[in-house]
Amino acid sequence: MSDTKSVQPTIVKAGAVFDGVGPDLRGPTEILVIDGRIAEIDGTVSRPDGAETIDLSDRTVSPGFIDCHIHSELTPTRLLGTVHTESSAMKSLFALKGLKEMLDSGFTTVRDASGLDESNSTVDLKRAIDIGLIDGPRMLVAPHMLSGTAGHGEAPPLDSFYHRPWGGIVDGVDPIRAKVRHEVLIGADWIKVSLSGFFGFRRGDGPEEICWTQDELNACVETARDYGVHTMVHALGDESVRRSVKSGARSIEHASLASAETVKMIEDAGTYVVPTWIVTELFQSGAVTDVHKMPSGEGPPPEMPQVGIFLMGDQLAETQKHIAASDVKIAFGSDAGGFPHGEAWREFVAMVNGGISPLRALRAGMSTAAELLELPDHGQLKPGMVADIVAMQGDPLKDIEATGRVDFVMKQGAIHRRSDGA
Amino acid sequence: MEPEPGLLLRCGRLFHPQRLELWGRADVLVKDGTIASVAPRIATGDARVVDLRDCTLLPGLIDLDAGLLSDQVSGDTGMWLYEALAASRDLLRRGITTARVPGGADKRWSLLDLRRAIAEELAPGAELLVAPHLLDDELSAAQIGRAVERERRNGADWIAVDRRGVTADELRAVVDSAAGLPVAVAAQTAAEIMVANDAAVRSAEVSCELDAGTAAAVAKGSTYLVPRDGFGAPDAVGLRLAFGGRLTGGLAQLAELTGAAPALAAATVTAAACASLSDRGTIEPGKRADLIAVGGDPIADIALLGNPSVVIKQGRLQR
Repeated sequence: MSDTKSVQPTIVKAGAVFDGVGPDLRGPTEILVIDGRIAEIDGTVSRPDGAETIDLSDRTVSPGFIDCHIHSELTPTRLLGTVHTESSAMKSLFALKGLKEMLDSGFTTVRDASGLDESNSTVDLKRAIDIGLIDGPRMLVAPHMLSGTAGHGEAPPLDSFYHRPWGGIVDGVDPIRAKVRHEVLIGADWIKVSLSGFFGFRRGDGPEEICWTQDELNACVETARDYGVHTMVHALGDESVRRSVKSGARSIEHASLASAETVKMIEDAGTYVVPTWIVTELFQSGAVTDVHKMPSGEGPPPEMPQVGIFLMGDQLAETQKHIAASDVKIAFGSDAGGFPHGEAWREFVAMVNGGISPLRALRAGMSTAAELLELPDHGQLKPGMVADIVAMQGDPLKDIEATGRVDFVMKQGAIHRRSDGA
Repeated sequence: MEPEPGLLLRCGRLFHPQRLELWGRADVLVKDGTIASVAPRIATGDARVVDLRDCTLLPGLIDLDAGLLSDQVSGDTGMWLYEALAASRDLLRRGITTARVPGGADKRWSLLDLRRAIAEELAPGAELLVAPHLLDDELSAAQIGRAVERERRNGADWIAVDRRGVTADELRAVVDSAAGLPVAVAAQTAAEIMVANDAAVRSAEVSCELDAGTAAAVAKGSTYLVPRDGFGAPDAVGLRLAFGGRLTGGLAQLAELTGAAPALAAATVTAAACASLSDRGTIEPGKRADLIAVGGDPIADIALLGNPSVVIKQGRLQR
């Protein structure tokens, strides 16, 4: 059971290993796991009494995947449809399925980039996972999407029984400081800001529209930092990306329309980028809106984002080239929730299709993601690391789609999912 | 529900809850969430065989008195939500495939949310039948009708009443407002049991000793009794006893009172009848495939029920 820490030592016999950093795949390797951590990793390891051996000699083993941008409470079949129409409890309950799917498919850590309710529901989800009440990846949580009036964080304008804000509209330096402090109080691991809009959902929500001044954003980042908390900023248009870099935010989410010059600026500043290319691709292909049309007629309105995305297709491709050609620190983020959580691994493929090397893409979802999230004992397979270990069929350096064939998942030394026959 | 290849359960014994006895070797074929056939020998076909030759197969247990929410619940979300889910998952692991929750302290509608989360398979757990709130002494007599109406409109499966000194007329009014939904009444005295019986509510959760006169009257009525700690009766014959999980000693505690086989019936066929669940409670073709298997003879050792080796809910293996 995944909710009980395995007390007995475990030896994982791997056919091949990608250690989270690379650059190469190692051959047959054994990993000794004791008390949730990697004790030894070598050709052969010691054999403590009572150790269970897991034979993964026909699999490639890697660190558990880390997704730095998901929305656990966003359900792909409903998208924002639940914001006003469901109780706070129900929004959290919807998250259970996606979180389990993510863990099943190899994601042992996720950063939740804002919930859908004004309560601190995603913080509770995180705690419930930590104490084993529910199954899911380890969570780091940005409870609410902060933005200015008319910004991306405005809830869709629906009227219903559960009419309630989802908790993040705030303008002006002092109110922003107070809001950030409140996020910290309720348990924020991260502060999430949506500085720009998205793809023209409505007035105020375009990629070039910006909801906060530089001063407002700086106040947010600085206040969070005073509590040891970092800020992640959703920024699509070029100016919003530049403002994010200047603010000292730790990661920029999407950065979809950044110019070559701005990408250079990101590189020089050492800011992380979480590109979330798969969700863009799915919106572009219309997959998101087609898949999510509800039988009841609910679901996203027809003018939803893909219109904007179509118009900007060339610019998006241009920015992808700049980012792929740069030395920007890229961390993996899928934006899962906008599409089924079990498909989050497709971001690995989207990155490679966008020109990022498989090695860099894999690091993005392992060691680089752990760096961004300041989890120094995650994202790599070496002694002392937390034993988040997954196994897949094939060599992901040669065939990135191997990341979609994970069938063994260990989280903190406890086996969550076993390969058939292993 | 996704279609799955059938399950063929090769069982050492079956418990027959109407006859209160074990039947010898039998095969049970489960398809599309339903029991397709029961026979001494069924050809395998494309079904997946589950070897239960050393086990006794029983209908999934029904707990009519499951408390999922603590009394300290507050707020919209919170850890209590996941504690309740984990409690429901634990019920399922212990072989309880259906659980009635007669009211929670939460002022919102979280029990309905939990029921939905399990029905939509967002999380594993016993299927829940829910009385969203306990209609207790905080309500004035004048407020009861409205409260019942609100419970019903919001999707209650049951109406649960827990009022001291409630009268038969009040309860008849509740039954009327419930408009067909079954009504459960907590009864702490013989007088309250008589009132529940007179109003012909569906169930009374009883935490006191019945005297001979009360027992005889209830035996003639239609109300099912769900024993709680403190329950006792001079002669259980003729009472419709259904199992509820608030007995601290569980099914074994009920068995001390009734004997093992009747206690098993109380948790299966009788509980199903009490809750009007005509689709479960026995192992017969056409019934829902809510089934559990225990290693050994549960009539000889009822403690086996606490740790079933197999739990099947709606045709799906849970463990």
